[in-house]
Amino acid sequence: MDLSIIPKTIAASIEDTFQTMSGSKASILEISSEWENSQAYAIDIMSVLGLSSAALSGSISLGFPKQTYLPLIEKILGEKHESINRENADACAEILNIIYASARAKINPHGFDFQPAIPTTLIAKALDISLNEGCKSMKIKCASDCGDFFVILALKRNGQK
Amino acid sequence: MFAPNTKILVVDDMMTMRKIVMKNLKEMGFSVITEAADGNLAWKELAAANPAFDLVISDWNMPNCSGLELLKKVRADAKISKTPFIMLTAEAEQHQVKEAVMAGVTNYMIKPFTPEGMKEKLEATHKKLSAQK
Repeated sequence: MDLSIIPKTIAASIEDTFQTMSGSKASILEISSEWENSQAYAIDIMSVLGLSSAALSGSISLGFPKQTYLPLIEKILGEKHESINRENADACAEILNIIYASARAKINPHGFDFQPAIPTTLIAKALDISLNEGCKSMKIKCASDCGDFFVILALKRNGQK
Repeated sequence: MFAPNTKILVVDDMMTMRKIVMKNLKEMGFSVITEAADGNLAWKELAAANPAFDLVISDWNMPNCSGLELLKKVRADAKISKTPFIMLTAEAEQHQVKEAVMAGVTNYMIKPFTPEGMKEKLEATHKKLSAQK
């Protein structure tokens, strides 16, 4: 089972989803397992989706600073938003949902069976992220016309402590 | 293409996606658009509508009543069974597309989509329906 296909496919799905939904080009700056202090990224909204399959479990998270998120949803919805709130937070969940679902359709034929899942969205100020040491975690740092944002992928083989 | 006064029901649990779909439809010239946040609410709209809806555009994954369940209810109701139904979904896996086709979906649209992609899909759906008449 070649796990390297997972971050590569998710990265391609991020680029495609952003380009199609917002007309805003997104590019992958870095895929890294190094994890510095996440507070440096000042994540203000984050959607998290639990990953489950027969062999692997984990999560995928999509996080934005406010200064990236507000111009992005303006591009997607065609309306200006002054703050992150309940009214516009589900855009983050929907983007993550589409990134995951389109990646899943390409990953599963390679011997995986990732299941559909429903995202949860957190709104906070400078959200800190603590990763489980038992997981293999990858940070996918992305740039877009609207600003930088992050995808965090955490995976663990089932049965592994 | 569908006439501008086509009565359309947009169903999605995500407000963002309903807004995107309705914005695209309005830009295409459609003006009679109703929204519902899940399959159950959509079913109430469909049952109460007079005249009936001319087109349903529905998400697949929703709480309470999914798009697939809604499609099956529509196809099982003699009064509205012929209503064109477009499934809007991020689920691009082949077996899911087959499931929707088996349940009688008129067409399906994979997320993410552009406004141009949505217009093409509506045109293709209208062409398909015209050919069936």
